Amino acid sequence: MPTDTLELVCPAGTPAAFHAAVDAGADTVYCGLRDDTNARNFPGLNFSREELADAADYAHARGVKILLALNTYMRAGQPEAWHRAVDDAAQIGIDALIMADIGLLDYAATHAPQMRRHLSVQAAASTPEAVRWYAERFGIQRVVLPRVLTVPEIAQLITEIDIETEVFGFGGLCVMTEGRCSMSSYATGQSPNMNGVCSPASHVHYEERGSKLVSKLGEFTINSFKEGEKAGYPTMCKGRFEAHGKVSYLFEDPTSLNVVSVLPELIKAGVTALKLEGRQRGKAYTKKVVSAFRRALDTAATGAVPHMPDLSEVMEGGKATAGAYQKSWQ
Amino acid sequence: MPPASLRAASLECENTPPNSLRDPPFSPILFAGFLARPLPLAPLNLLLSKAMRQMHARHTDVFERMQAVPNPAFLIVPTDLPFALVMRVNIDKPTLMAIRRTGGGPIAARLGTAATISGPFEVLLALLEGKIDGDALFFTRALSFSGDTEAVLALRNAVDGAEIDLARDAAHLLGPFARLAAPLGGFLNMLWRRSSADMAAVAASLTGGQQTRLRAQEDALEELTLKVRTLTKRSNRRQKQTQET
Amino acid sequence: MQSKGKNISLTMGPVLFNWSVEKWRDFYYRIADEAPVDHVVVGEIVCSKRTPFFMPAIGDVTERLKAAGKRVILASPILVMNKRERTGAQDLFDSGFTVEANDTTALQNMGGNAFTVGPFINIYNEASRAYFERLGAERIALPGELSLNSIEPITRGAKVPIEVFGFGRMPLAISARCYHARVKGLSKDSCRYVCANDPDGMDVGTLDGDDFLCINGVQTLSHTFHNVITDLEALAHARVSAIRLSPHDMDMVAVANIFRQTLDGELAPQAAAEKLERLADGFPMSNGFLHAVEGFKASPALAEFSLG
Repeated sequence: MPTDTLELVCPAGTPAAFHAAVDAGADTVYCGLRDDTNARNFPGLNFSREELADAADYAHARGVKILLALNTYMRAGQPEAWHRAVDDAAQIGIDALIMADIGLLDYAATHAPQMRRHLSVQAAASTPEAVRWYAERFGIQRVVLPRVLTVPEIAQLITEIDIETEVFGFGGLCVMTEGRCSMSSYATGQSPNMNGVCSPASHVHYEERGSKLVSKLGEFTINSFKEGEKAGYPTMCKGRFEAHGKVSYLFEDPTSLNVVSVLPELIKAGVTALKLEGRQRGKAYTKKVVSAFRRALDTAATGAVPHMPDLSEVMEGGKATAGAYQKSWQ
Repeated sequence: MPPASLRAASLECENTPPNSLRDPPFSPILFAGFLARPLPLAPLNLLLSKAMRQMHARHTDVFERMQAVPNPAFLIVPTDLPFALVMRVNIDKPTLMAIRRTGGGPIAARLGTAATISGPFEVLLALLEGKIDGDALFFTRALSFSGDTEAVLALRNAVDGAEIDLARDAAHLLGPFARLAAPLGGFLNMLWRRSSADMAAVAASLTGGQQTRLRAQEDALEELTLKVRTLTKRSNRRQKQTQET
Repeated sequence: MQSKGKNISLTMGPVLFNWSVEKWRDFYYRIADEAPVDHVVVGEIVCSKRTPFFMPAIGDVTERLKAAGKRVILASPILVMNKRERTGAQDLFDSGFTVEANDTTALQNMGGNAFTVGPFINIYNEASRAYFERLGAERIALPGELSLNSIEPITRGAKVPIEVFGFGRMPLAISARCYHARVKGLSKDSCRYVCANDPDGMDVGTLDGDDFLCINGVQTLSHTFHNVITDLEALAHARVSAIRLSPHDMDMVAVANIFRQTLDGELAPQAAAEKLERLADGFPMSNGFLHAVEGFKASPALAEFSLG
């Protein structure tokens, strides 16, 4: 059912960022546990059981929802951590689980049927058929759409499914279809699907060569930044490589996604929720980006064209793209 | 233990300190640093130890988050001050100590620190309070680090996760002097903001041209080195393939 | 190689690269006539824009394979986005062949058809494997990044044959964006099919001149050839039922023969590795994924014969 606004779904990597997101106007905040059950399994990040329960209380007292990302794939032969996460989330009163693994969806649907289940972007359900397949089998109430669809494709898809949709609005941009990428695993042995990390910090190092800053992932050079040039994350898909005798950002420039230019179209298409990426970012980022999008959505709700403050300083490479939402990106 | 490649990298930084370490921002803090140079570090260290003990008591979660890091020891280099800080955030016995920076930069290997973080003092303080986003600082190159990237990331996340308020914590630390210190801090802050813009302009006019030329030479050399390396690799591969067939 | 390897069958995977229809047809004719493989997976799974070119030959190819006693499986695309791709997934099931589903779109369309689970559906654990068994999957091909540590718990108690990726450049990612077009300054819609110039994909190197990846239109693959020839005993021990060989612009009949002979104990793994190395003409070999380390790395047994 199209409305005049979108539910603002915001990231939190720590309790401090969680408070910042709620206070800045999030409708919903999503977070993860401090282990490999989620795709931001970074050192020093995420929530203990106790912190998660406190966060749930903080959110609920202010009418805000809290979601738990369990968006990695259960390790073969060792499903216990994921099962326990589902059980604990149900007990804590988490409002929905975000999952991609079929085995885990099956477990949650059977063991915690009362909990809402969102299909993670890591499941890469890109068609009405794929969405219906998950919805019919696991009672999914919302699908987070992969970052491969254009706005007209999203609008079309929404007319053909019966569940809510959530799309990415801002932040890190996966260039490859999510949940189906082994590039990090190829270079580092650590996989987003299994270990919850892409380009893990343990394999990243920086070298200064002359005035250049060179980033390496394991044994491979990913990029080299001249003095004064804005840097990006050392992810493989945003590195400079040589192909066909030419050095270029072959896959994607260091850039962040920003959908503010297509926000009215997304609302018109009937999208339910707008997701901001960045559980790995600091609370200053959370505060800045959440407030900006809160204002933009409130403006859009009045029918006016939303104005967006300059967010370039928190963006990778200092610039933005509307990504796959625009056909020209392909 | 960090992987071998990272350990090697952290040793490397002894000989080639990061750019930001070579070029402190021309700021009022730099001047304050020149004045502070002859002062003994002992009183400062007394204060730092106390600050760390307080941090440990007030923000236990920071140290809990750092438990996954095998060697949570950092060399923190405020590029506009004459001393560096050695910080160990072990959960049992955290320490914070100032050491004097000499010409060649401090020796991270001898100190046994996992990583070095450098940047202007003001930026480091803002980072501690979570007022600016660490990734953003890194994208814009205001901050640089070397050594164990994972340890640095863990520290960033742990510190950011705590709700640190330096004014409040400092007030606590200074006890009865806090009321005097607060307005003084405000005044210094204003003075700093005003003078720093002027200083940056002076600095640029003094050193700009020379440095640009030097950097351009370094870059040219770097490009040549890469080219030679690539060519050598290609010819090796070709030789290998020829031998095979 | 102990006799256990005799129970492992070989599967010829779908051609991932943009070959001309003649080359494509002749490849399958030769596989039909000469290769010791039991299953042959046919179909364009990377880019739907290429499909029309070999549609005229697909009838002849599947007939020839069937006549030679091969089990033919038609594969569904990895990434389905537009209307054409969605209806294409439906057409597959109307063909009457067993379909290898590489995306849940195909699963939703299958009705009562016979189907297998392809390597691009994420089966990372025994719970997911069991779910697809209950759904009626006839076979399951596992994702390429799984190590023996994961494969073993998945095959334990499995009721259907489990297959692993055994030879060829490893598919690492799929995207809405076409990199072949991008590198030549073209858009995906007017790509001029530039990917047809690279029958094994286009090499991608680092700024230091190291070989790294390979692009194939919207797909990214490893630079190295994933090769499990020195791991067949471990795979047999882990109750793996089939090894998938991924077609390259080389003598794939010889590759299949080398694998078959090694599985049957007629060829020592090390000698087999050496032969494959020569066939692959300078491409380095790797099996890191299987050993739970970096995918591009080779275990000592394999490294001995790899250029690296």
